[in-house]
Amino acid sequence: MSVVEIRGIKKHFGDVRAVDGVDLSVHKGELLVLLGPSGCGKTTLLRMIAGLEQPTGGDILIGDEVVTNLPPRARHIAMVFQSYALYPHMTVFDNIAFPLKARGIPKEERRAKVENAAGLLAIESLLHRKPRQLSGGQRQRVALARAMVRSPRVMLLDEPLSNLDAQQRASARDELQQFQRQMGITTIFVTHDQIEAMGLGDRIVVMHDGQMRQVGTPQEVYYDSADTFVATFLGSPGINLVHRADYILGFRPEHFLPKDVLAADEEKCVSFTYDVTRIEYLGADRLLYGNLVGIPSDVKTMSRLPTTVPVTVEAGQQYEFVIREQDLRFFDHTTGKRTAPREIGE
Amino acid sequence: MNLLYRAKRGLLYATVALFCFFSASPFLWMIITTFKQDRDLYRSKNNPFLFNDPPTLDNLRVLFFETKYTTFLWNSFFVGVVVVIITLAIAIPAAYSLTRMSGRWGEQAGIAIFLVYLVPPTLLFIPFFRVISKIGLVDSIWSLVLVYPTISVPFCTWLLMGFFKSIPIDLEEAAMVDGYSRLMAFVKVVMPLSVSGIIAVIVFTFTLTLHEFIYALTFISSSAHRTLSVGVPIELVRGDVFYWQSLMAAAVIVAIPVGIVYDFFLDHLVAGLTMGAVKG
Repeated sequence: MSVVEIRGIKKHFGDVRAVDGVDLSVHKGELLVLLGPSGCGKTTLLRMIAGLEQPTGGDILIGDEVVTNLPPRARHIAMVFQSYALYPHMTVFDNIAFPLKARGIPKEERRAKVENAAGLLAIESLLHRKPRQLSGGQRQRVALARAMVRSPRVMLLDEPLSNLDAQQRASARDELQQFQRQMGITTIFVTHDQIEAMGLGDRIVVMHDGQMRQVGTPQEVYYDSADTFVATFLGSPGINLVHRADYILGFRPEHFLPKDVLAADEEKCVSFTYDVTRIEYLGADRLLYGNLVGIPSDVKTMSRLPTTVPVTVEAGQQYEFVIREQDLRFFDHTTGKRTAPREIGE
Repeated sequence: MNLLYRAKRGLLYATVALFCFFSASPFLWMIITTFKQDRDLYRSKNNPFLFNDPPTLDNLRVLFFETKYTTFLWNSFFVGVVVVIITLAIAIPAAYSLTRMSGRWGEQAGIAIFLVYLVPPTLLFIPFFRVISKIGLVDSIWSLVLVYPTISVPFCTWLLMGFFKSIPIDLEEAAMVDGYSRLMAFVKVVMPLSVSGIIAVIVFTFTLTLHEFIYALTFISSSAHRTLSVGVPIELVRGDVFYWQSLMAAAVIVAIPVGIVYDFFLDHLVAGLTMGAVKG
């Protein structure tokens, strides 16, 4: 059963097509991630679901009810803003109780619900503080508590982790996912950070220029990218794309390995002579930059070689590198869309 | 070290004390003058800060029983309160809609509105008098109630725009998602966060009505309808005779309570005026 259904939704700001015809259905209890570079329309899409932005065309259904023209307050949803948007003049308790007050829930029940939510997020001791007395991580928890306290049909999160530093972010990601699983709240999460998306999402929607490029599990969008945009956007570094006569050949750096490493598997492989020009040691991995001999290209072809693999590679040398055929991806050279595998003519 | 610190503190307090005396001395002088006899006041060799003759209450008797001072007080208070209410009722929604709803035009319109404030009353009192007489409000305090907002509304709208602009729109949107209408989001989130601005508006407007002179002089002709700023000088300057002691009393009786009330709001007021200045 889908909790949120989006049908042909569009949002144009003058000539700019921020969102240009998106169809999407969000399943009950899942954590769906909207992923894309800045300006791809993901936040606009989220704001339209919240009712903060009026779509130019199309419909939004929440729980089988068309809500396209309803104001935010009538949609029974919750949203966590990038800035957390905690009310600075209220205590943490009043912040969390605020959506309950709007629904006219009696005082005693309100107190019980707020305390329950605070307990789940381990912020009971902060209830009497004001938002300015909280750290970034604590503010995020308060914002989450305020979102879940009303038992919303959908919880919308707009880059809630981007204000945290790198260390806090990893633990916040873990807590957020546990919390979402535990509560079973259907959640839509907007981010431009692919690590967050891959780590958190049950499914990922990759967006670009107002359009949906692919929807799928993290594995699907990564290994079976629908087009060259998705393939290069995901992964760090992104996929290698080699332009041939009438198609584009794609392979991930971690699949492009020295012959000695892969030959033992006796699988069908494609081999290239690889001219290594530079090596970066990244601790766990070695990142190789180089060119495929005989195939001119503007971009360096990269290989990600785990340090644990006992192979010596030096810059300025040529090596025989191979890719298993199952790891090769083919894209149309004009549209960039994924195409069927084909024979590779040298 | 300790000695240097003490010297610095001492100098600081001395400076503060000097400024306190400097600010308070006009009021002190006024209060002392209020209770002086004529003979004491007019002899130029007497120290103005000391009673050379015994103090008297006679000047207060003149003020309260021989002039319509209590009527002036009431008129000024009444006009002030009504004008403050009108100003808030117009300037708050105007400033809010200009900051939130009209995009780039809002800012331009805000500046245009502020320019209206710069047109001086000396230029406007004759056309305004025509308007007032057409609608039959000559010699009525309602003429002042009608005209004062033309000065206060533009300035206060501009002042409040600076405030509303400084409140992140996320907060209102969060309130709307949390189950409130735009109006309730405004009342519950924006208003409490712009208290300083609203207090600045109240103080500015009330002070304006209290000291405004040209409109009050030209629109009102009978003493029963006069406000303080015009009534007091007209009644207590008779020909070329200044009733200095009663004039001082009339001024100080108003100034001190107003000063005390403003002082309660001082922190808000400073935040209000400076914030409007920076963000506006």
